[in-house]
Amino acid sequence: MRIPPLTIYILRRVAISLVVLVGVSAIAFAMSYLLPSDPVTSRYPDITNEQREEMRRQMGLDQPLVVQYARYMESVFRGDFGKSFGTGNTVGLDLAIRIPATLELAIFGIVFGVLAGLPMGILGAVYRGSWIDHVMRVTNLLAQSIPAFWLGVTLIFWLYFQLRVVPSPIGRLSPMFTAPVGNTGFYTIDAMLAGRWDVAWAAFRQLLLPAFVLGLGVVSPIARITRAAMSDSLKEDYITFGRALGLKSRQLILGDAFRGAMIPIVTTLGFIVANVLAGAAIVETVFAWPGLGRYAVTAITTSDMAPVSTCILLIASSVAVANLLVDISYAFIDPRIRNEYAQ
Amino acid sequence: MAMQRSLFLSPLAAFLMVSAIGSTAMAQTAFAPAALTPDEVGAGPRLIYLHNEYPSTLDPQNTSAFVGQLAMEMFDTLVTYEIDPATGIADQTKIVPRLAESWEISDDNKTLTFHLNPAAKFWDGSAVTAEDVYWSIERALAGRMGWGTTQIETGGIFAIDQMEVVDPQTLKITYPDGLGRYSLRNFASMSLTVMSKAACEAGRAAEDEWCVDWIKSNAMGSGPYMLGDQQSGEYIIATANKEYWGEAKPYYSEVMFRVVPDAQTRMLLLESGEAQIGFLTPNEYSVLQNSPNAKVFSVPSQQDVAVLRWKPDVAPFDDPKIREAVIKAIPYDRLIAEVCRGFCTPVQNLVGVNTPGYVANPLFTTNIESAKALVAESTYAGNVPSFEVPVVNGSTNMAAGVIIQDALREIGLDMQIKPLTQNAFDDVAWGERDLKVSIHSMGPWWNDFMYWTYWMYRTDSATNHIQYSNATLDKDVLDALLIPQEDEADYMVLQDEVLDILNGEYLAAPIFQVNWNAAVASNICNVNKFPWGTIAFSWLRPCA
Amino acid sequence: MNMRSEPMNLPLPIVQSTLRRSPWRRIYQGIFNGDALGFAGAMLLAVLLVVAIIGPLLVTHDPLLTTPKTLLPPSIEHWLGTDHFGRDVFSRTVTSLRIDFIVAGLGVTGAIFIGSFIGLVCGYLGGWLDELVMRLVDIVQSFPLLLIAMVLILVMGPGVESIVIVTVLINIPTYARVIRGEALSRKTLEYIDAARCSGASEASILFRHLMPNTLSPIIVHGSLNLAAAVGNVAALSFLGVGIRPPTPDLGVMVAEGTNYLIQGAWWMSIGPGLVLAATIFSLNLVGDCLESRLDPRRAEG
Repeated sequence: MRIPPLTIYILRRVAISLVVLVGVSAIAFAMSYLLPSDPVTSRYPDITNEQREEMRRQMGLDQPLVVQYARYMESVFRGDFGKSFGTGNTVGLDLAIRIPATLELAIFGIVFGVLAGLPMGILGAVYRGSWIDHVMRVTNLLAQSIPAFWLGVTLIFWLYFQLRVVPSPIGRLSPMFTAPVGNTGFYTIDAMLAGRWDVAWAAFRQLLLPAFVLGLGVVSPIARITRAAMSDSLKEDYITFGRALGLKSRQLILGDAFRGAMIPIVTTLGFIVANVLAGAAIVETVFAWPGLGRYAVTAITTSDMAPVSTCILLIASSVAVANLLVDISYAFIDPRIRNEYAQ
Repeated sequence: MAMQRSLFLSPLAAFLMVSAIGSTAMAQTAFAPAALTPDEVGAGPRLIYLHNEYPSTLDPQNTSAFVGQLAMEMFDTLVTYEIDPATGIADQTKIVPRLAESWEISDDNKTLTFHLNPAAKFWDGSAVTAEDVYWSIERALAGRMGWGTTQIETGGIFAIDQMEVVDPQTLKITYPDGLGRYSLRNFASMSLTVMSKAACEAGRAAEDEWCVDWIKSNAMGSGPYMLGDQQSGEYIIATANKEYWGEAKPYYSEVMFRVVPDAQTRMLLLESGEAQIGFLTPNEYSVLQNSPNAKVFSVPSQQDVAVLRWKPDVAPFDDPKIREAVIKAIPYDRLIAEVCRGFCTPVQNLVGVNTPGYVANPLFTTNIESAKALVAESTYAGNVPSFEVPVVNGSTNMAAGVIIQDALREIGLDMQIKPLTQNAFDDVAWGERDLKVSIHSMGPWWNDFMYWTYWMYRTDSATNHIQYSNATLDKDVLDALLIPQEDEADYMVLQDEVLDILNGEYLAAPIFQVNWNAAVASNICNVNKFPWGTIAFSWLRPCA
Repeated sequence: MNMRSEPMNLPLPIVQSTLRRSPWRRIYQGIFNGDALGFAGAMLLAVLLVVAIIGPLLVTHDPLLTTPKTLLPPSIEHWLGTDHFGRDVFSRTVTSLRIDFIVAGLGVTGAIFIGSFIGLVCGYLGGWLDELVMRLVDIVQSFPLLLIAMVLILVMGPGVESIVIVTVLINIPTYARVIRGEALSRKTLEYIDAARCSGASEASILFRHLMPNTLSPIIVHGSLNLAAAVGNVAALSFLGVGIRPPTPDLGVMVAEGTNYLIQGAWWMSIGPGLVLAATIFSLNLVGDCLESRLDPRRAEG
């Protein structure tokens, strides 16, 4: 029986991803294990060494590393990510609150990044080599070069402290409101579903600055890839043909050429996910956003082992899965890749 | 060392010393809460209290600042401290009733009997009984709750069989060695708060014998504020208990404990009037004290003297000349002005300025020339080995370290600062107790120098991070804790002996006394301060 | 801002102007291919490098000296004002720039050497070793590297050395992957076959024929990487796992400065922040320009 090359390719790519995930989990575990200090010391300062050893034994901290790793993986598969010493909750419960917070911020950030990056890339491609192209290039390089934490605090200083045009930078909602109850965990959507338009508006205003700073990190990659892809597709025959037929250039650029360029743009997803999750650690710290990034940073600086390994595992897995999806979609788009495996 | 001492610098005097920081603060600190009519109880607006982290549990045995603040609202103690009307500061040595309407100490000083107020009710309406008190203490002793248990032990209760429930309103406690200096006053501490045994038993899981898990997000107390909504990592709401049985009836309808990790953001919220109470760092206080929306309280904390101290047997501190030179080189004035921005108190002894027995010691005066001369006379002259000081990254101690480092550079000493995370620091300091040189401050539970020394210098004590050991000191600190409050003279004899050891051998430099600071909205009055830095919210009232 | 900076495909206009070429003009044309932005980036970078190199001559004050004159605004005496310890911000900024270039430069150079070697060997030899190493690279590249860097620095203890080592470690995979790709695509080219036929040893092919050809991608990635590394050193300092005080560092200065921003001491963070942004910007600009210049294959997409 002949297996279709695309299936072989996908199976192989999935197998590679599984290997990567196992490696990721091992390193994530090792990271948390390496952290200085154990959770017992500073919480029970006046106990004797024997008591401390006993507590470490109860937590399983005295077992060989491999055994601890095996136990860790076994519980991860059961959906048990351990407990945070910092919050006192299970990591699963902590994440259930924090993941929507990060997602809401990330989605707004990416939407901003795309809304800013796409036109910049299109303009750059259409006016290649002109001053417009140069301005776009400098702008997106600048966006990539300004350190997020400096920009964040500077914006807070001017827009909040001096001008009072944005709400106080204290996370998802001003203390004047209570969090909306809902299923999505997105404050803006939950509040709207509950008919609390004032809360939704307040939550939206809280999002503006952090989403801007986070989104700025992806403006540059999106603008660059759009410009390159648009340049290519503007050279395609059907565009030249369209021009020859006298079609309006706005329609050609925004309709046909852009549609042709969409594929390479979409396939940068993995890169953008990685970028936004990395940026979230900084942006959430600056804006007191109660999300995954700040949770991870706090866990690392407080040697809170379970959240550290879970966050690293979670972020690395999402990047690995995003890359897998991108590679598979490539295979569907580009026949050359799957044909490599045709033999 | 013969010293002229001021026996006890009253909290008022201590307050006056620092009130120069904000001269307007004086009129606002008077403590005279008006009694509320039944309609006014819980009728006020919501208060927003800002804190830097979310608590891992609501257990009052976990003596973190956040939990302490919340615990003192939700749970009642048997007794409490009288608040000085002039300053709003609660005095540890003046005990007044709370859950217990009266108590007596037997003639042989070995038993203490409490009589509970029969009006006392938990939030669910059930009566607070001696059985609940017994169980709450049993829980701490049998469950081994870390610091909370230790604090109960400093009051002389080590075993459950020291307690006896005589009847639902009467609890008798026996002290085989007699009541010590802290036995009674300890009953006002958060480790000896009372919670409902029945509610816990009904709510807990079978294996959760002492409700350690249950109390992470549940509570049943009898206090003026009740546990309300919680959003993990973000906020906890305490709602006014309109049926509160006690005297301290709450005015404000809710207190929202809002987590805001960044001190600057907390300051902004207070400055803009969006939040009402918060604890900040000196830098933010110095900005906020000029704001019309907020006021800053700053009073010396009890015996919390920050020290630079060293193990006397590590180089270069094994030479007393170097030790004295370091003491002389520290720019004490600059530390107050630049590190604390004025929000700490100058102190010229290891004894705090408001602690019994304080007297300024001229040894702790900056004199660079004599420091240089001492280094030149030392065995290490011209070739002083470098030393390392681990500090928590970004802390006030690190800032102090940078200034001291620069001052020591001037007399030819190379001090290296090693910034660590809190946990990494705890690991070296508490776990290994292996700090050769350290900048450390510790707020003891009691405003006593000997109690502080017990923790800082007694052999094997948890906060003796430099592993100091001296037999005379070990004996003296233990003896002092058993001297009853009334025998102040006997106590001072021991204190002098210990001070002679520490100061006479140049074992530490007191760099400043940590202040208790709080920022409160300017429209809130009757701000008060209990030991361990908590504010009783139920006494807060809007300013007239 | 982000841990990775993958060069994107970016074709650049090729402007030809062959009339009246002065020697300077030729250099400009030759290196920058008429790309004024790349030239501007290189000039900015050159200025920053010169400042970093002759920094000790430029400083007006001892960058470590604390004084009671804290939080003074910019003046003739203190060009960028003083910080919360009364230290001169200008002198500290200049010294920081030097230290940060050294730290990021050492880190990226280390990564280039180790990563290129791994990539070259893997790409040339192929087989299971290549497969294994590339999976490792996949694993490392899917990690949130800023968080990993934080953990590693906490493990090693604070200090300049730790930051250099971490910078090396997290950048190795980039070079391993890129150089492997280069080696893979070139090992079947005619000139390699020719060398093999003329009896060159494997090692000699690897290092004498393959390696020199990987130089362009190394330079392109190097400058973009350096930009990212400078940003990361600062980000790590901001997150509180940086350099030991009182060593000046741009990230630490910005982080400390932001603590005093709200009380009006904008000068503490604006200078270091701008220098930091300018450094990263100039490196990105140069990298961007070199990318299209040195790698026409990529530029054509």
